[in-house]
Amino acid sequence: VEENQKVFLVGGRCPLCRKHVFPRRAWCDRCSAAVDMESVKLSTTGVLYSFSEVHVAPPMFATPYVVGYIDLPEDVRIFAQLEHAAADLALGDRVEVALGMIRRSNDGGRVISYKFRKTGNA
Amino acid sequence: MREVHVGGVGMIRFGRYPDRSIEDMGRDALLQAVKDAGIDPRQVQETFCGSGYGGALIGQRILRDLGMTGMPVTNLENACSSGTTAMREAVAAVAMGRIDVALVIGVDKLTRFGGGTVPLETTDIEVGQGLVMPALYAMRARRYMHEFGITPHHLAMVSVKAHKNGASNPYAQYQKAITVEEVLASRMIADPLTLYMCCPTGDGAAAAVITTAENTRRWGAPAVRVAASTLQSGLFKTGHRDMTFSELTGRTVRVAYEQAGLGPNDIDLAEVHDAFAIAEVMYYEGLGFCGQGEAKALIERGDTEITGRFPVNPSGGLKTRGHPVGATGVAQVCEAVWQLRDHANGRQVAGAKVALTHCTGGGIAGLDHGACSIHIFTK
Repeated sequence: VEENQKVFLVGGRCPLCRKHVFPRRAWCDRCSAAVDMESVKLSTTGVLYSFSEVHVAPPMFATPYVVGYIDLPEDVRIFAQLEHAAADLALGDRVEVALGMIRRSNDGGRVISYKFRKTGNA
Repeated sequence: MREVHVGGVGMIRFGRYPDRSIEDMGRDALLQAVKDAGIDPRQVQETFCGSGYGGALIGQRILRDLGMTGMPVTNLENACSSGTTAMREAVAAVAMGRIDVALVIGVDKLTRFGGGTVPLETTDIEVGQGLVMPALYAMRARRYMHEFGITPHHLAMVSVKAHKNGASNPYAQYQKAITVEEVLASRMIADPLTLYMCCPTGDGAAAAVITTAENTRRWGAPAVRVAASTLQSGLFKTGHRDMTFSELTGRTVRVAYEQAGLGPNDIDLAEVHDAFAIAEVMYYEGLGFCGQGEAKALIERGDTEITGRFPVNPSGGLKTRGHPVGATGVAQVCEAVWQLRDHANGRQVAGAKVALTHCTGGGIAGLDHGACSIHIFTK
């Protein structure tokens, strides 16, 4: 969601064990139960665990593009594209969530989704 | 539980066969395995067929034209572990005494997808964001390099070993030695992984006859005993995960070592799921051939060469034998059996008495891997 031009990822929080997940779902894997997860805004910044510049991918993705795993403070790991060349990134970089095009849809339209951009060095 | 033996094995050379049907490849492999066991195909009592992309009723489609119809046929899909998942069911069926002769087939035809990376489940959230298997392993590689000080040069050395071994394997898709320089100079797939650090896609089939100790004696087949037959699946983790260590492989091999009453130092050779060079490096540690972060020294000492202390992938592995997903695990079983029979000409591990096969894979968000299957064979 976007609020005051700031982008947030909305995750879920288990009402029983307080575990955070992304995306929100109707089950908690820690409780092994169907739960009514609360919608919560997740932290907008995280730490880059690892990344790669992808050169071979299905045709809807424009190569090369950079992907990575980002760890948020709520102990949620997000897989997302990054708005940088691999050469500009290092493990442990601070990154924040943004919006951008990640691929084309089957009918050629632009698919906009969350991406991450760098805000600080490791 | 009864003692279970591998009575016969067979496979076709893996490769790109756009003009051959998947059923035809499967029949070729199964007839070789049955011939190797020295039995009539009609002695098979049940068939277990593993395939990643073979589609509905793949086993029946293979067996039909041979008239091997009417018996129980079980088709299994478990991504890269499909073939050895089928193997495990066959072993269990013989061990529990339900049947005496089971046939295992592993088969896939990836050329039907054209080329490029293997297709993944498009409903997966990470796949929709741009995850492809090489990128997943590339991220493991970058993190591993960061934590344990290996370089692309070490990864290239793993590929060079695979090609050196594969050059002596008549069943390998690629039978050509390469150099570290060629690996590093090949085109980038997902950095830091270059083309020659990734296994190829292709087509193939492999088969095995699983039976009792009494039958192998009666048939005069060399005794290769199944000492461990295991399958585990990945644990779901939504938060931090150490991607430099395969928890799933470590957990599965503990079960296998316990079943066999053996440990990593007893393994004379291992056929390991080296879909990417970094994967093999991580599995040295996952299988207990060295501690976490110690693979660098293992590589530098040449310990995993055919002549080393822990020979890994004497066949050339997925890297050069090829990786038609569902066929791979059964091809590993073929190699293990040939090694234990001293029949692996040009790539034989001297005095091999204990062989381990390890298959794992399947991209699914939040899991290390979908499935892992490890078998141990002794003679």
